[in-house]
Amino acid sequence: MTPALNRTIGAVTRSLPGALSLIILAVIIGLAISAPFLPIPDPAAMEFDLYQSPSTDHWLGTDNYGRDIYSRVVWGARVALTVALGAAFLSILLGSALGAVAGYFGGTVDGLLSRVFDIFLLIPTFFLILLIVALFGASLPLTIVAIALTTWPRSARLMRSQVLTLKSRVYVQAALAAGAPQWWVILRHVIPNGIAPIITDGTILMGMAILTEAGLSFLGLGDQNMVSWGSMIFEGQRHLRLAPWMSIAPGVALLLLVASLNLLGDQINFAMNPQLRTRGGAPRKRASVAPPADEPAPSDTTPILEVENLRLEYRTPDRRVTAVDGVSFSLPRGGSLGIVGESGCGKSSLGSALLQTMPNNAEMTAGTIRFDGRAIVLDGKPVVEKGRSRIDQLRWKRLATIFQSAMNALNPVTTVRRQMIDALRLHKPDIKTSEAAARIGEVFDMIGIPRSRMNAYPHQLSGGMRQRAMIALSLILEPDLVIADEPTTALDMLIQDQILGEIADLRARLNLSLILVSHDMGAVAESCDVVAVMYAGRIVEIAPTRAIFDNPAHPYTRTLIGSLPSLTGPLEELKSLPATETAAAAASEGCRFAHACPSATELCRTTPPPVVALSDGHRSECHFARDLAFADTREATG
Amino acid sequence: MRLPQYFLFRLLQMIPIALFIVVINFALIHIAPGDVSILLAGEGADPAYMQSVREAYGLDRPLYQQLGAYLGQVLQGDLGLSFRTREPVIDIIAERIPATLLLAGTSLVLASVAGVVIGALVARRPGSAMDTAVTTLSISLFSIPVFWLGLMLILLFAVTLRWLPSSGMMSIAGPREGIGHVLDIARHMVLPVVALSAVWLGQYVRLSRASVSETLAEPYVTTARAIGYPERRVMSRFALRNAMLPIVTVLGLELGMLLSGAVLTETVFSWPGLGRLIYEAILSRDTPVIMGAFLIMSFTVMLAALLTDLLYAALDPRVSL
Amino acid sequence: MNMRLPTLVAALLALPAAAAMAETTLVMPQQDEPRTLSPAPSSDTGGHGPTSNIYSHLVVMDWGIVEGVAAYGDLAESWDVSDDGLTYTFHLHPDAKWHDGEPVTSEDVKFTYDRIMEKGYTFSSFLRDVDSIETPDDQTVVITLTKPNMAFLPMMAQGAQWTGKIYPEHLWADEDGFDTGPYVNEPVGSGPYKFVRWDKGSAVVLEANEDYFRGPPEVDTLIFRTIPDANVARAEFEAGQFPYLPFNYAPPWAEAPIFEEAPEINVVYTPSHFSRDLQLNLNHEALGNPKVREAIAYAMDREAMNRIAFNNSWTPGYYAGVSSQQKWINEEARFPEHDKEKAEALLDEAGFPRGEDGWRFKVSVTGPNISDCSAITEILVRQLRDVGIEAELARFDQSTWFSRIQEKQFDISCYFGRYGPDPDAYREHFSTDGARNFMSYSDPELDELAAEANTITDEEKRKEMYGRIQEIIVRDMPYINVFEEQKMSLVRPGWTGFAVMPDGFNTSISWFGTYAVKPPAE
Repeated sequence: MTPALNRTIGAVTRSLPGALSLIILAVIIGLAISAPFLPIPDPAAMEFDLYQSPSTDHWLGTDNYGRDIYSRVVWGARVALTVALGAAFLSILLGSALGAVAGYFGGTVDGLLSRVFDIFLLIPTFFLILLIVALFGASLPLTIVAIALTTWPRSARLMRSQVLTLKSRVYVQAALAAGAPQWWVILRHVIPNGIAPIITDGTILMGMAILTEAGLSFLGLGDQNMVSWGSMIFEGQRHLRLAPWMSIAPGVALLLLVASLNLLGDQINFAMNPQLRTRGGAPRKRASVAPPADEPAPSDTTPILEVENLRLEYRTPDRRVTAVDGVSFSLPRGGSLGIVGESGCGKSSLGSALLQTMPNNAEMTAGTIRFDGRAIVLDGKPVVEKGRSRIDQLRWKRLATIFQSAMNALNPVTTVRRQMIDALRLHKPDIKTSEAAARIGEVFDMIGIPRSRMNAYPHQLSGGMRQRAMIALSLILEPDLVIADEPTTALDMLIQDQILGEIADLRARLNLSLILVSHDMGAVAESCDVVAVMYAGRIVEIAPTRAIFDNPAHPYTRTLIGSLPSLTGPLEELKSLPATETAAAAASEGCRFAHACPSATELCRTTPPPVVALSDGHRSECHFARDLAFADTREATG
Repeated sequence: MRLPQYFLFRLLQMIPIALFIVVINFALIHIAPGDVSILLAGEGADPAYMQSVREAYGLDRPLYQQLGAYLGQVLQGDLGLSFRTREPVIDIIAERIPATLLLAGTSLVLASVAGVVIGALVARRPGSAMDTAVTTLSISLFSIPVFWLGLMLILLFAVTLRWLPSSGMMSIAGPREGIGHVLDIARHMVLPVVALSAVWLGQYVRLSRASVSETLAEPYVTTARAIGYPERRVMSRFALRNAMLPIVTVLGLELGMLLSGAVLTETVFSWPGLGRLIYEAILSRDTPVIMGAFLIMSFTVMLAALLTDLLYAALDPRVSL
Repeated sequence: MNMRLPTLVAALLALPAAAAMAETTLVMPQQDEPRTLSPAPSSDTGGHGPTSNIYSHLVVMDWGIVEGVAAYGDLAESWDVSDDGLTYTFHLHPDAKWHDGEPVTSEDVKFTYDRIMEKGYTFSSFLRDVDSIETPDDQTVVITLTKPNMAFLPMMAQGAQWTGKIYPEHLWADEDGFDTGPYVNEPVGSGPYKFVRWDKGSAVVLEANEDYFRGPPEVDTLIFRTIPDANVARAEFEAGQFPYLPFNYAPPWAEAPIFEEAPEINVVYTPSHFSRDLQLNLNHEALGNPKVREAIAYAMDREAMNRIAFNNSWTPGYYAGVSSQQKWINEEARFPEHDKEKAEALLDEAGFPRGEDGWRFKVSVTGPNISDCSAITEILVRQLRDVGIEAELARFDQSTWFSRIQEKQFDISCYFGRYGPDPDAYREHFSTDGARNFMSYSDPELDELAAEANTITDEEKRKEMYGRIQEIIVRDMPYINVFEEQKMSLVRPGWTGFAVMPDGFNTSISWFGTYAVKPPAE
């Protein structure tokens, strides 16, 4: 908790808006606390000339009763901060308690309370506060209570969802099993653990409370015995023509305080979820290069895809992570390559690099990619020809992709058919409607989707059907190469098999080239001629499918084969390496796999392994590749 | 569920909520100190007359009977007569609604359209200096007390520059029909609309920025890019359409909050709308108007929530009613 | 003359109309929309304007602006009071006619008053002592009282301006009350203006009654325009949309000098029968002590209040009354002037020394939700705190405030004391069972004097008795006068005769009348 807290505070103070808002807050709080000790006039004393404009004597002028406005603004900060803290505290207290009860007990209690939360959303709360304060007399404590009474559902909703996830946690269950009473469990374990986002929301809540109190005071319902900024503006309104400074200063103070609270909340939120700030966005412009002058014309034997020494990094403000670290391979026309590795090994980054759909924080630092003999990436930079990048010329017509988890890879608000027609029209603007319909029907038949499902939305299809629709979409323009990124991950085993079979079948029929990215050796074995095993950003072994299964020449490959899921047993998840550890592995002196290798030696830890060519197309990066390749597989893993 | 049935179901659901709101208001007003019969009888009326007024309005009966009578009346579509003006509450409210709709509606359309566009533009470059600047600016915008912004606009454009009228909805002696009338109202609308939409704009910019940047990170957007759609179409066809969903939800849900801004704006600009009516009614303890206006407003907010759900269903095929 | 083109064009366009000129329109802004145009059933701030110009009254009240007259005739040309003070004989104006041409007779007056008493409408409280109303002939009304009541005529004359207007019997005889039938919102009266139409939500339009018994008014069309908002009214007044901005829309007093300097605006100050005073709740632990009350009177600095709140335009009130009462004021009975040391000494003497925290005792200060009382209480709190009284503000909305002071749930309240139109008002405020005695004040001598003074016909004797009452009040100080109310209205130069102006009040007929209004001479 503490390092996370430190990191959050650090990130907030480093950002300009965060630092600015903290400074403003500090100044306001400082003035508010020290108000009684400052050499300023009594804010209520009517001892100066009326309506004096700002001067050196009265920095912000005097008001209609001859009171010093600067002094009133300073004292007004106390009211604003009291309201902020008081209302936020009460509101969070009440909201968290009720939210925790609703989330914890669930069922009828939850239903009832959630209903109440909903009703409060529908009540115009400002009017309710206005009514309460008008009816029962304007005073600061009442205002605070009224604000809390109408804003608590905000915290309640947050707490409820927190508790819903927390209550199944081990320590909660353990406490209950140990016989602790439920209220104790809620108080001791549930609320403290769910409170963080609610506290963050507290800054927003404080801003709201201050504005609400100011609004009430502006309507003449402020505490009459205190100096509130809203009341000052209320008074100022009547004297707008005569003494505009009466309303300007308190308004600026309000704006500064509320804005800095909101900014602070925003910055904390960003600091806790850094991806909120940078996620998404349109692809940024990258430095490009012209095509090489001496590019040989492609022949029948030119590989459909050649990759040389590809490197890809992710950059965040404070560090860089190399996800793909010098990958090379070549895929012959009509061939198929499986790229296997656990999550975080860089295989999907490699896929996105091949498609040039990397996120903005990814940067290709080196490498060349040739498609059908023509460079699309040179020295890590996209190749642009006549103002258009080469990859754009290839997209979908020659190079298509099947993304993982088709639920999200297909546009959820458009029918499958529509998405196909759009893709078709995009690349063949002149195509007739009837031709388009015919083509779609053809593809659907080919993939095995009943034509009756054509007009369905993605969510209306079963998982398998959806994946087939994705495949259909990728084939609609008869591409040469399809890159399939985990096409079957989310599906159940039987469907996985079916779809893999279909992909293999289609590949053969359409003479497609295929790159299949997967964490599953089995899936790859079924549909690919060649398998590349990736670990920590590098291809550690690549070989024809038979060879890699018969003679795995890298300990990691052996682990992967060893963890092949069986149809009967439970699916065993490979323990994956977090990205940071991947980076650490990449930075280590010796073999990247050394830290996890069952048979690592001192040599492995100090010296990077050479690339060992074993047989035709079989390479491995291991000091002991030869030993492994010619040893008995069963013996090595047993 | 079929649409008419769904509609009916939702309308029925509103009844207990409305009842809840009526009872809360009723309880608040009646347990508060103060005597409405003074309002009814007029200042300085003699005690006997005041007693007769209490009887005439049923104020001498037990609370639950008064509540029952009120509810019975409301069920028949009768919101009673205003204590202050003796006009039917329903007429008073109906008379104020157009002004509020005009002001809040115009501001809402302006703020949401501009907000969505600006938010979408900065969402294209998340984390850039532009993004930080716009985000900071929009947070500052919605941190401005709307009434104060209104005052400052009046100070600048009405008092100092004398370009625009400071208050009211139309000139006393202005034309009452034709293009002149429209222009007259338009001139009066400028300042309140600017004040209200500026504050709301901040909200929508942020909302839209968050929503669009989130959709831009969705896999289907990557698919669209891989398919080769130009970025402009990716934005309009894929990102914006999907980003609209949360924006629409918030738009519908926050209507109640938006109305809060409207009462303050209406007060600053003396705009003869519903918010101001409630404020005046609360200050003068005009119970029937307070109750009626709350009821109508809550129904409006609930209807807005219902329309939001319908709109959501129309926008998102995944949602079925 | 520097005439700009648009002005020139406008002038040219106006030429053809100028022939038919002499058509004068007067727009009167008012804050509330009328509820109905029938004045009797209840007081209706939006209705008073139109109905006071459509209907006539028997007698109306002079607010003391014009010397020597307490009530003056409207339909009544003159009246006699019997020596025993029991019989009032009114002689009606012979030329008075209803707007439909029928003559106004004494039967109309009797019919109206009888029905008001029968229905118990607001005005009936002024007729409480009436024994009978007789009509010996068409021009004579004889009202007999059950007991002498010197306040009868002035009180009735004052109430008449709101709810005591005379209805035509021939049109209303078949209706059940004054709140049903076709004439409720299409009134037929006998006043200087006839009803034309009521545009609900915006205006009531009247036209000059050419047959008015005092002669037709100078304004041809009179429009009462509903403008609820003071800001709007003020902006429109400044834009020249109407010539008169009534005091209830008045801008802050501090801006008065600006208006006084503006050549296109005249500022009109109007005194009233109302004071601004402090009601002290004698049940309060400290305020029950006469020395404390006296100390508060010394603690109060009216001059400072006047400077801060009213731009020195109000008249500080040191008498137990207001100067518009003229002859009834006892100038010997005066509240003390500001003296802080004296105040502190009195408080120490009264047994309320400053505590360790500097405070003697706590009081809350309340008042009605009107801007002058807000200012007075705001400043008063400061002045009380200066002498060690821990005063706090507790202001409420109008109805809450009123019910609180009625239930005696207050310590000190700003109040608008009314001393007119007849000094009988003292009884209402200060006698033990007086309806407006919120202070729980009780003095047997005062009770006796107030009850008796109302029945004495000898004016000198009465004056003496009310003089004594004022002495008692100043001696005991259950209340402390602070200011005499001053109203500020704005008028465009050239316009005369508005009821707030001395030259208008006499002939305007009632507080809401516009009969005397004259446009600028061409």
